[in-house]
Amino acid sequence: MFDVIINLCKRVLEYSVVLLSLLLIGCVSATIEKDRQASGITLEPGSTIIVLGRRHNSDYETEPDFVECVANNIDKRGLDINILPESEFVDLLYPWFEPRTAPLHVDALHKLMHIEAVAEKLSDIKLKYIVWLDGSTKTVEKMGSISCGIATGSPISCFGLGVWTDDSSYESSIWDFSAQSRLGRISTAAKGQSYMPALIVPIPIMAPVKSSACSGLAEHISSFINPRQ
Amino acid sequence: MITRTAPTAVANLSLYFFLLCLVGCARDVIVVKSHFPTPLVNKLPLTVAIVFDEQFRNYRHEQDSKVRGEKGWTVQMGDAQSLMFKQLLAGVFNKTVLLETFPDKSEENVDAIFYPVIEDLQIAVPSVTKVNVFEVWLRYNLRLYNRDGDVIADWIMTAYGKTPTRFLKTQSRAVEQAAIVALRDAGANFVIGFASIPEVRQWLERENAIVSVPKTVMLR
Repeated sequence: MFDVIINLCKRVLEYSVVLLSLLLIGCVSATIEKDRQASGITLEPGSTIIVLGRRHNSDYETEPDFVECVANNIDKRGLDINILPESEFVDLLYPWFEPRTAPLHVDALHKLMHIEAVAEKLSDIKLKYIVWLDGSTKTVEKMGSISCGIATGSPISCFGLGVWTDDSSYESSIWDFSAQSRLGRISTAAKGQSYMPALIVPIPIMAPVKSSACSGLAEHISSFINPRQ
Repeated sequence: MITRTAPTAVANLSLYFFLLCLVGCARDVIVVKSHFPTPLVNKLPLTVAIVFDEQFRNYRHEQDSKVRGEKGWTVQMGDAQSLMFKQLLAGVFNKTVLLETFPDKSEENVDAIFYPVIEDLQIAVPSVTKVNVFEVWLRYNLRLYNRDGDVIADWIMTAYGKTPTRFLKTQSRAVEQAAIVALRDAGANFVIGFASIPEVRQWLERENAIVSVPKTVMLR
């Protein structure tokens, strides 16, 4: 009897956590566009793929955590490939993938291969694909206000409502390093509104805009480089 | 028994206000620390002495914020820039020798002496520029001397680094990261530009080292 009550309590607690999690997540709308420029791709087992962020724009940078998120999501899809972390690859090839020197067009790859040491290193790591990510997530709108106050003998309490909209816009360009050609492009745009109602304590209800853009992009990149996925 | 007189209380209050002002007007101290990779280039068959003088090794930059109420920064970058140039030149030249002062003519058996001087560091933050990135600019005066102590080349090299606002939690960490990116950019700028400086190119031709110079490829 006692066990049944404990199990019932556990079940109620689990459902409460799930319900609370759902309540605390805002809504996100995402669109993805693909432009395939090559077909008949064969992915050799053990090949290396690198996901890199573009850093040459003056007013934004592709966030390193977004690049890591896309790379991790591709890695989780069980393709028989190696994914090198961005920082490791950029250090191995220093200074040829710094913002000042990174190739902006696929045609520049053959110039890079003229440097003997670079050609050797890229051959050693069996580089097959380079995935460039370019974009950022910005907060585009902010509304509402929250005011917090402190009174003698009571803790800090807040009241109000904050609303903001995040906008993610990323484009990935997939280069076949061995063929020195561009396989295609995938772009994603995600938008979502987050809320923070405050009644004594502020409770953030976050819209997972960036993570939606990340998982959507990773899924399509994986199907791009391995059509059997 | 201790009795607090009015002048003592006033003095204490003044001290508190003074301390509060000190805290409010203080600068964040940023010690730039990072590893720097050796560049992937074809080495020049030359031995070069690198002089990191005291000013270079202990370089610190102080900058007040242009926004009222915001702290300024003291950036200590001597160790980081010394390490970056040490790694950079170890990759570019066959052999390097580190020196703390400019050598006498006959002291070192080297092909050239490299003497970097940092001239300026500037920081820009989003609250001033209204752009969502922290930025750092560096300006170096680089000098190359021959083994007799005569100038081979003397040129200015600039570098730039930025880091997004969302990525890092504190302003200090963001400025440090931007400084690291700027130092890496200085290395990249050196690698692609060194052999294209006319005086350096002529010297490399005289030393028969021009064949091994990494191609200056603008990959854009």
